[in-house]
Amino acid sequence: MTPLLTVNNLHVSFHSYQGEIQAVRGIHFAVKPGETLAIVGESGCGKSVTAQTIMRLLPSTAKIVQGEIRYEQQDLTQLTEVKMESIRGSQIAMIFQDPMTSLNPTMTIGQQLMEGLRKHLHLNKRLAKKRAEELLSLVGISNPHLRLKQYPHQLSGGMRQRVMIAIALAGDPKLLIADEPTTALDVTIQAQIMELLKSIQEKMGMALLLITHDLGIVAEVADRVMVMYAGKIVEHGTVDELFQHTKHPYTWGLLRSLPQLKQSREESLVAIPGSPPDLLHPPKACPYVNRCLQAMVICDQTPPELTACSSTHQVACWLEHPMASKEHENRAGGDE
Amino acid sequence: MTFYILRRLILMMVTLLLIITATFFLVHSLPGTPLKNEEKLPPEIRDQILHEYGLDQPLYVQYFRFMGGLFKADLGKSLMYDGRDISQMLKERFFASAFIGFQGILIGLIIGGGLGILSALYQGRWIDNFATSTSVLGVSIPSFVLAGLLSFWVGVKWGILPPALWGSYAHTIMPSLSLSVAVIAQFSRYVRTELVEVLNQDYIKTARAKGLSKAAVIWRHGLRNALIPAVTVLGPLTVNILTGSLVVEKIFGVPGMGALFVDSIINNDYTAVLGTTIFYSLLIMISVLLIDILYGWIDPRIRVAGRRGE
Ligand SMILES: Nc1ncnc2c1ncn2[C@@H]1O[C@H](COP(=O)(O)OP(=O)(O)O)[C@@H](O)[C@H]1O
Ligand SMILES: [Mg+2]
Repeated sequence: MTPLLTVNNLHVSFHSYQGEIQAVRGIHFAVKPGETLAIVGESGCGKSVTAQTIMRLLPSTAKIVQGEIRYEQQDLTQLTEVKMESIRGSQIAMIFQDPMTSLNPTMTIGQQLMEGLRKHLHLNKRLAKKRAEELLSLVGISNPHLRLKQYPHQLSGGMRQRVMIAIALAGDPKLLIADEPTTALDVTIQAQIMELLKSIQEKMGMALLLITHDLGIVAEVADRVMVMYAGKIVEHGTVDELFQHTKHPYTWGLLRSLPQLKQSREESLVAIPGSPPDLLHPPKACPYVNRCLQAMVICDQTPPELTACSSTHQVACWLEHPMASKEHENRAGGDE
Repeated sequence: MTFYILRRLILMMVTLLLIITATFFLVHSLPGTPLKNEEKLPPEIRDQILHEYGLDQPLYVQYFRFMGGLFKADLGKSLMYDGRDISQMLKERFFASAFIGFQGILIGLIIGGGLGILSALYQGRWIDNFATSTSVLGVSIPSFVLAGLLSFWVGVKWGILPPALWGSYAHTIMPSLSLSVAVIAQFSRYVRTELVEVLNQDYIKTARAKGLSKAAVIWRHGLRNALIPAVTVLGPLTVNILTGSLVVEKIFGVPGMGALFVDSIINNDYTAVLGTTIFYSLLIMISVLLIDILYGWIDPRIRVAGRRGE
């Protein structure tokens, strides 16, 4: 199947007074129609910047240094702003982390929902209203007729995120980018919203690029996962491969910081010690070397390339080199 | 809402009563009397005039008389203009003041708003720097200095507009311009700050993500939210225009309330001072109330909360 979206060697930098912040440093990935690709990684690793680059919604201080973003036949990095406006919302839509601040407080739900409908589907007011009600029902909001006339502050956080999803669906997009869609919500609501996203994705057959730092969510909803670290991809594979055949020590670290069912209360979660490198002066070699328990001499000298371990599984780590000791594979069994 | 407005109106009445009382005793404690050439008047004529205006009575009697008149909507008679009705004079002079005042505010809001929007959209570019320096100048130059300069250069030296007096539309331009400068300065800063903040909000990104054009985003999502808080500065700006008008009217010889107020203080025209004070106080209080109502009307968060509270 030809991919819907292909990102090739993407580099994105911010200009600041201290210099160039290299937020994204050469990433490659593809999203196929209808699939769910998750991007995981610690905060600050470049997930949101990647999403905003695809939507071309970067702040003015940011620049796409190189790379291409292929969507259908076109390179999104080269499109004019006007062209891009016809893609946003209708081909690629996005929902954001905080539903409390992502809706305009002075416009009704209906007004905000109908904007996209009128722009992309060219509906008249009456039809737009009808479609808006349908969308609200679709995202599980009861009494849509009444809700259309309400303002965001009259809705709970979970409801607002549902409205955000409805807004994103308005243009019938083929790809939905969800940037930490449940992080700001109550734990009980999180599951509902994820379920909703999943069922809508199936109903509408769209691809989902799901950004999260919650590996639990990934295990449940994603087809494939991409682990980012310091603006690079360190491991990339199907959910099975990543959870069952974990290769990269960083992915390991993330998995071990998950709460476990059989874990006793006294055992605290093991967060990975140390912190990611400064993206003003990113290291030439492996960015994870300072925190890696299995670091070798070469790790501090030459950056590891992303290499394939199967047709779908890739990892950027020197431990995968044929000459590296295979001792760590045993550790992957899980016993300390 | 009705209850809220009623409560505000009652509060306004009490405030007004206090203002009138304070002003009454303050003007009467000013040195001098309303009579011109007091020394040259024969004592019996002087007494007769004072008697005619009730000024020979003890102060508290005068106070209650005045207040009694107020309830019958009678502001009394002017002392300097040969016993003319104060209410009548206010009516005649209101138009001139209101005209240059409203025109001044309007010019100020349009130019100030425009400059503010441009500087928010082009932060750090020349238009932003230009607007910043303009507003620093505008805030620091008092309107009467500007009025004097305008009258001299535009009016006298270049002869583009009449330097003073009243009669045609051309006469209203320079007074309004002098008044508008402070409004331009303050309002442009205000709009810039608000709009910059609003444009950084998450919901602006949502609007962009829908595929709306930049112009539509700024217009529909940016400006409305930026202008809601800006409505609150309309109150202070109105006050600003009112105080500015006192001197500006005098400089350009506008036959308005401001000039009347200044003259009446200089001449110890007690009733005229009180009349204009009452008028100005009412004007300010009513505009503040209207602005509060307007604010609640534009901002749905307040509107709905108010309704629910009833
Ligand atoms: N507006 C900005 N200005 C400067 N640097 C930024 C800005 N936004 C993000 N960055 C940098 O880009 C990096 C990646 O940010 P982001 O993609 O938001 O991280 P996350 O993975 O948590 O979503 C951060 O480490 C930060 O240094
Ligand atoms: Mg983020």
